[in-house]
Order: sequence, then structure tokens, then C-alpha cells
Amino acid sequence: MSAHPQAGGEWDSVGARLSRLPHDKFVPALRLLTQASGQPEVRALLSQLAQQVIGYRARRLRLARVMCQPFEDLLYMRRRRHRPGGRIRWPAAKLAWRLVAAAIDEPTLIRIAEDWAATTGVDRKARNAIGRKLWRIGSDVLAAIVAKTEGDKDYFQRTLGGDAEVRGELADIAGILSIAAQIERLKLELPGKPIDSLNERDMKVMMHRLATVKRDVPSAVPLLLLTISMRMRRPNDLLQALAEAGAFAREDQRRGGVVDHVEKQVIDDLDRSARDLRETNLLSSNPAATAAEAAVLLEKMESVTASLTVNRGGATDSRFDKMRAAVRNFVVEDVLAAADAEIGSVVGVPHGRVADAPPPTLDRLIAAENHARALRRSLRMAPSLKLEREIADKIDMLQARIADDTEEMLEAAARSNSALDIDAAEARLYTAVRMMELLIGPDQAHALYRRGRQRLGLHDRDSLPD
Amino acid sequence: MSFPHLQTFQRFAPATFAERGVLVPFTSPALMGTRTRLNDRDRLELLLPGFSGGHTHYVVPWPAVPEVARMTVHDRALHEEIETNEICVPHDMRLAALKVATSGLAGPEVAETARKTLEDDKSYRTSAHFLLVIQILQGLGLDIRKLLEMGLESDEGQREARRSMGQAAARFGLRAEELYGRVSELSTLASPVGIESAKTFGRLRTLLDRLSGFRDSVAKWSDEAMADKLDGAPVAAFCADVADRTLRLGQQDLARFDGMLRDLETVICGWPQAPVELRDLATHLSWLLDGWEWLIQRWDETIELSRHEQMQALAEILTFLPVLPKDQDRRLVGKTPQPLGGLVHQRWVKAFEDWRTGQLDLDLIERIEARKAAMA
Repeated sequence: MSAHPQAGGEWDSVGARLSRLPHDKFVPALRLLTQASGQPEVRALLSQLAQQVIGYRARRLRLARVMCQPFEDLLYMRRRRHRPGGRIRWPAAKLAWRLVAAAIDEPTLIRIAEDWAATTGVDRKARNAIGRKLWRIGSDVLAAIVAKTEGDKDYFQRTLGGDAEVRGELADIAGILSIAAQIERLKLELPGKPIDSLNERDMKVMMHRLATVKRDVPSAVPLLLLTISMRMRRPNDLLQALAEAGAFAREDQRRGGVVDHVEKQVIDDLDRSARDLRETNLLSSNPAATAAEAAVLLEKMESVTASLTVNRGGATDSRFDKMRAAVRNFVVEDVLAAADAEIGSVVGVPHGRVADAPPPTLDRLIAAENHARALRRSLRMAPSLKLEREIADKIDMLQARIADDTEEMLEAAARSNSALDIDAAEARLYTAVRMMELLIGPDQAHALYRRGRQRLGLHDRDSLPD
Repeated sequence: MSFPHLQTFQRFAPATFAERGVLVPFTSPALMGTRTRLNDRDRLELLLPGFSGGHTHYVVPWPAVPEVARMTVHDRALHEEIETNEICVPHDMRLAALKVATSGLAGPEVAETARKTLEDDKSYRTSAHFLLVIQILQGLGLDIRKLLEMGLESDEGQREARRSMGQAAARFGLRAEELYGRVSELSTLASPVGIESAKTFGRLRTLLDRLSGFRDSVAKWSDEAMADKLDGAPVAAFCADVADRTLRLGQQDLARFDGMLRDLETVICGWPQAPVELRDLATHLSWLLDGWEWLIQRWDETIELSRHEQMQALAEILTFLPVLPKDQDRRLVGKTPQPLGGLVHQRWVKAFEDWRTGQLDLDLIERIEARKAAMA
């Protein structure tokens, strides 16, 4: 082995070379270095590399995400500044991570970095083992920072820019991280989200975890309930079930108690989701996914309205009316108004030869399918939104348009009788059939399929072309 | 939905692959995991697993299938395609499914995947052909440098290949066209399995590899569930065991297949028997692995999900598990089937419960189509 490189420049170049190594070679190198960590130069190098490793993506997952895992259900992902309720925005989560990463002592950081570099990211056990260390440290670090900002204005200004909202979010994060292990175990023990219902076994598990948190960190009980509520299809079902199971004392169910707190959070969350629906749709460009989200939202609203105990009636009812109006607005503006353009553009052909019209691109086809699905999903929401007539009329109109445009196209192809036109018409026929199926159902779509194939001279029992 | 004792799966295992039938990749939820086979009068019939919510198989004459379940248009087209061509072997089923999928009747993404898969098949065949030519020339100690530089795509490369193959044919005592024809046939035979030395794994070799990952992952899940006294542990152990048996048979096939292709001279000289054996091995492998791909895909989708969802996936996988036919099980020596405990009678698979409402579940169809689009 060659002599030790000199301190400074040569170590820097070793560091730079190591940092360029692929993941599978980097990990053993890091392990080797750890064994020689008695040397000050090696320690400095390890510290430099550890900072790099904690930013690593192990199978698309950053270590920061592992720290956020226990409160990911409470993360507020929209860009809007306004933040109803005591939820956690992404920037606050990022800040929390920066503060925690900066506060970890060097040997611990190196240990965590080494463990992280060795995991694939999909191994939940290994990830949670790293997580447990991070959550414990994170909770202590953030709680200390929050406490210090309360007594030291300069520090508050310097660290959090004097933003009380951010301080509240960091306090929430610290609270959740203090019970992170319980939350993560509970997530594994309960059904995946959205949780439809909790059976006897689930309730037993839930009660056990609740009792443990009540005993160890009573102040974190609302955060635990809120986290699990957010995983429920009907968030208030959890409170109801727990109340029925006798989980709450009388003071928990008074104004200002645990139930009041969680109910308010749940309503705020629904409110925010309803108001953000159109923005969500704009960002995702997938009305089918947004419509599915809207349907779940409506279902949640209905169940919450029926099951509120502390916040029943009055102001809450008018908030729910506004939320329904927001969902209705999404359906009217983003689903119904855009349907003709989105769906109509992929069926039929403009005048002229069928083969001359460029076929719709994959993106256009996907967009049209998503729109058709959004319409079908909106139809399910129609009674709650009082839009039965509008949606049914739109679907009828589109059905007629698809049938007419397809008929016209088939007619043009049959008239020309050219193989190119017939082939192009066949492909377009299947697109129309698919749209019909998504909008109306398979029976009408199959009728169009048979009729179209007959018009093109492709007999019923003929197989599809090679 | 309740399940009987797991032993039932073995007691009522099919006698042969032909009796087990071929998986039909329908997208209608009620027809998920169904298989087709020929009955004793050589007529097609469909096997419907778990149709009534139990663990029996319903046998439906093929023409009656549209009356039994509400089908998507894609499935009606596939149904017709299968009937027209009397399809009842995995290779033909795959081609029929890809053909129908390219129409777009299961959505544009499924169509795109199908088109790409067909193109990949073609290019794999070409590269297998090239590799076999190189291997033959190398085996005979002929100069292959020029050919490696040119490849087979260019006219120049084709000429060089013909010239070199002419030399090789003389050594085998064959005409050049004859040798070329044999290599061409071999490359068609070899491409579904893949050539050992190829950079890209063949389709069946890849699937065998994924099955090994599935077995390990499910066995690990079972061990952990057993330690935590979870209900799903015996089901996972059973699924891992069936995967393991299938894998061991598949690995035997693959070893024999690779061994034969390593000794190409013997194969070329052993014409016409040798290619028959290779074809039999490839066919056997395709029967063995039939139905596993989408189950592996289903399990892979749950990797990041909760144990509860993984149990649901296992219950679904169990319903459609391609249990080895008895004649295949007898080929395995050593490990005998582990005694399997009963499965707790529990309602696990919620998605199944909505299937019988009369209306097609569009969300479920979308998920099936998405899985289909993700599979090659």
C-alpha cells in the first residue's frame, strides 16, 4: 500500500474521487474508512462524505423522507401560503430536516450515513431502523429549538425568521417524532390507506397504541389521532369508534379537548382539499385522478357531517356547503366544460381521406381517456352535487357525437374502399369504441364495435389484423 | 371470502399442464385469472376460479363465457380471437393477447406496451441469430473479427456472414443455406428463453429470475408473519413453496437448454431430433411459468404497502396460484410438500366482493389495465 496521502489537498482529492464512485463501490470504501477513523484526516474525510451520503437517494428515497415518514399523512403539499389548521407544510418539513441534520453529532452522523448507504431503500426494516435513530434525535433537537425560540427572541428571529406558524409546525413535528415508532407500527398493523373500516382486531391494536401514547407522551395523543384519521376514508369514523370503545374521558369530549381538536383539524383538512381541487387538477393534468379525489372528499364530508360531536351544526354546516360548492365548481369547470374538446378530438376525422388525417398522439389518447373516466366518476357524485341532469346530458351528447363522427368516418372509408383508409378507419373505430366503453359501458361499445367492423367489411368472426 | 384448507390445492391439483389450462389475460374483473383448455371432445372451455366466492373452479363452455360474465370489449375481442384460432397453449395465447392489445381496446398504454413487446421480440430474435452465428464460427476456429465489426444489419455484414457460414457449412458437410436455415430455426426456438451469453435476458429466463425473487420475498414475509403470529403466514409459505417447486423444475429445463446451446455443433449435427428437444424444453418452460407474471407483478406492487394490504395480495395470489400439475410434482425429488396448516376463515379480499354487482367496476378494470401496461 502506498504512503498515506498528505493532509489537505490530497485528502480532498481522495474525497472527490470517492464521492464519484458508484453506490456499490462507495459503500465498501466508506466501511474501510470507518475502520481507520482514529486518524484525524480520515475523520475529517468521513465527516465530509457523511454529509454527502445523507443526501443520497437509496432507490429514489432520500434520508430526509425517512425522517418525514411518521408525519407524511399530515404534510401539506400545496404551494398556497394560507394554511388552515395545524398542518405541516413541505417547507417546514424541509427546515426541520436541515435543523436536525445540522445538529447530529459527527460519530452518529457517520453511523447513520453508513447504514443509509448500505440500504436499498425498499427494505422497510432497515429503513425503519435508521428512522428510529433519526426520529429520536429529531424529536429532541426540534423540541429544544422550539423551547429556545420561546425564551430567546433573537434566536427565534435568527433560526425561524420570527415565524410563529413555522414554530407551531416544528412543535407538531417534534411531537409526532416523539411517538414515531408507535405511529409506524400502527400503520403496519392497520389496513393501508384509505382505511375503509376498523374491525375488532384493528380496534384492539388502536386502543393498545393509544394507551401507550397516553401513558408515555400524553400531549401527543391528538397528533396520533389526527395522523390515523387522515388515513381513514371517513376520518371521523376513528373518533366515533374510539368514543364507542370508551377511549375518551368526559373532558376529552368537551370544547378544547382532544376530540374538539381532532374534529377541527379534520374539517380544516377537508376545507383545504376542497378549495385546492382545481389547483390539484391543474398541477396533475389528470381529471380522472382529481375526480376520484373529489369523490373521496365528498364521501368524507358526508360521514364527518353525520358524526361530529363537539363541532356540530351552525358555522360548520355553512363551511360544508362551501366545500360542496368548490367540488361542484371543479366538476362544472374542469370536467364538463372541457369534455367536448378532450374527448371529441380523438374520435372521427375532419373532412377528407381517413388515412390522411394524422392519428391522435399517445398523450392525446391518454388525456381523452382520463377525461372520460372523470366524467364517469362525476356521474357517481352527481346526486350530492345536484348535477345529475348536467352530467347525464353531457354523456348523452358525447355518446351521440362519438356515434355520428364514427359513422361519418366509416362511411368515408367505405366510399374510398382503399386499404389504407380501411386500416386507418379500423384504428379510429377502436378508439371510438374505447371512449364509448369508458363513458357508457361495454354493451353499447361492443355494439359500435360490431357495427363498425361490419361497415369496414371485417366480419364478426374474423380475428383482428396481424 | 373464505378459504378451505390449503391441502385442497394439492389434493385437487390438475394432472397435467393441459388440464391446468392456459391463463387468459382478460381485463374484466370477474374473469381475472381464468384459464382455458380443451375438453375431452377437443372443445375449448374456460376455468373460472373463485367465481362464487368459494375456492372451486367453474367450468364454462367457451361460447357461453359472454353469458356468464359481463365482459369489456377488449375481452370480447380476445374471446373471439381465441375461439377463431382455437388457442390453448401459452405461446399462442401470448401472441393472441398482444395482437388484441395492440388494437387499443384495453387503452393506449396497453397498446403501446404490446407494440413495444412485439418489436422487442423481433429484435431479440435477430440478436439471438447473430450470437448463434458467431458461436458456430468461433467453435470452428473461423475468423469472426470482420463480422463482429459489421454486424448482421448491413448488407456487407450479411455477405460476410454468408461467406463465413459457407465455410462453416462445408465443415459440417452441409450446404450453406441448410446451415443458415438451421441457425435461423434455432434462433426462433431460443429467443423466448434467451441465449445464456446474450446481454439481455430472454423473456422466460427473466421471468424465472423474477420468480426466484418472488419466492424469496414471500418466504421472508412468511417467516416474519409467523414470528408475529399473523394469519397470512401459512398462505405465504404455501405460495413460496409452489414458487420454489416451479423454479426448481424451470432451472432444470434452463440448465439443459443452455447446455445444449453451448454445444451447438452437436445440435447442428443432431438435426432434426436436437431442435425438437430444445423446442420441448422451451415449451415446457412456458407452461411452467404460465400465469406467474401477473402474480409476481401483483406482489411487487405491494412491496411498499402495509402488511394488511400484502395479506390481501397474498389471498388474491393464492386464488390464482398456478399449482404444479401432479405429473410435474412427481419429477421433483427430495423435498416433499410441507404439511400445510389451515387458513383462518376470514374476509380478506374486499375487491372481490364488488365484482358481482352487475356493473363493471371501472376502477378495478383501470388497475388491471395498468398492470397489463406495466408487463412486457
